[in-house]
Amino acid sequence: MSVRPFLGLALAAMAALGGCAAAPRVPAATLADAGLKATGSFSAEVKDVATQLREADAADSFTRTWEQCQSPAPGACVPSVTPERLSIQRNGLADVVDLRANAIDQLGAAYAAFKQEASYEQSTDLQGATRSAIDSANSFGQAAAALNKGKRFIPAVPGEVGALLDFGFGVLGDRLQRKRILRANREIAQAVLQLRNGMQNEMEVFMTLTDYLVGKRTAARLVFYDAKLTSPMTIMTPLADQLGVTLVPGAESMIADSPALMIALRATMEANSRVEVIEAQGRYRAGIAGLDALLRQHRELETKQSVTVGDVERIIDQLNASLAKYATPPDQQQQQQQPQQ
Amino acid sequence: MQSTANQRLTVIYNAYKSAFARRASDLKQATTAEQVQAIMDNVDALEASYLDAARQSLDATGPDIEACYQAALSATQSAEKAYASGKALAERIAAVSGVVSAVGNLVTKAAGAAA
Repeated sequence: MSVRPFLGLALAAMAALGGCAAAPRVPAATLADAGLKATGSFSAEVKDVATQLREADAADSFTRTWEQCQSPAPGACVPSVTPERLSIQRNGLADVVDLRANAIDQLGAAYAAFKQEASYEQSTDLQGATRSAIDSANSFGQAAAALNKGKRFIPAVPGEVGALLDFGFGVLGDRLQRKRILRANREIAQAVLQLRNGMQNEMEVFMTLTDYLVGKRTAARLVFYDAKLTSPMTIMTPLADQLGVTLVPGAESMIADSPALMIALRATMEANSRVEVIEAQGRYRAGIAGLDALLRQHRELETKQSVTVGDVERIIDQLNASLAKYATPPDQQQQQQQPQQ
Repeated sequence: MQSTANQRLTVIYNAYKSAFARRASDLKQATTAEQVQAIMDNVDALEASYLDAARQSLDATGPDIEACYQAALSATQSAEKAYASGKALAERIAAVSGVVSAVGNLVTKAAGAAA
């Protein structure tokens, strides 16, 4: 009996087994990069909400005092600082929002460890990082409840979301790194799912919070405008650009002399604030969509040992573009767009 | 039909939002220090209720909570009517005070029972 066919079969079997057992380092690293990008953007968005809550007092006190001073009532025009109770409540709410941001950051740390594991053939503290991410996601509810005098902050997890994690727990390969990568893949996916469910359940609170914070900022901006502390061109120039028209020289003084134009621009400011709310709410939804897309890729890594992170990146790029837009003060945005006069 | 936690939050938030949006024009019409104080107190109380509601899960159930929810809805509708029909400032302030009480009750009941 010739040994050649047998040897050929044995080599083919070894090659197949070797390929099957190889650690999926490249797709894992790709997924880790997408996870880092997604958590970084979402964390920035959530932290921004907490920061705005903490910093609301100054603009709020300014607005309320100005409004009081518009009253003809004797003695009405006195400094009106935000009541301490409201300030404490806003800070308490910011603490709860920060817990969520911390959970997102922990998840980012897990992705960083995942990436390191996938990039080098050496052991990292992957287990510790993934465990921290899961603990952080799991303990968010408890921590929030503690802040909230024992009351539950997060409602029950919707059942249909659990289906996203229906991996089937496939057969593990023999190689240690492959085992570590696949185990971490599942554990990180669990943390992503926890986080995603929490964010989804808090959606309504975040939607109103966004509206609340933009409402406060808009009220203060309107005071600046009404008191003529800001140029009407900060509103007029972007509007003219949007309409594709060129403003005549001296437009600013024409606006200042026309009550109708002043009122029309005030209406534009209010409409702009509505857009600001919709965009901020869209960023929150994009963050959740990004987590959903990550979950799908964790499942792909488990089942097919390959990932396609295009949809994660597309969602996160949109989120980042919107974040960048609002990271630039309106005055600078206007200057960047097209300086007038 | 029973109200949801999100519906309750929406009623509470909208009550605050409406009062906050009207504060500037109400203050322009206020002619006494008492009216100024009442307008400010109403908006502050509604804001406090909203911030409380945003931190808590208002998902308790029960006929008393439903009654509070309906009372809050009714009070906000009354206030809307007072503004839409051009009632005098004193009547509008009283209508918003009614919203403050109803919304405050809703937050206390719906959150308290959830503990």
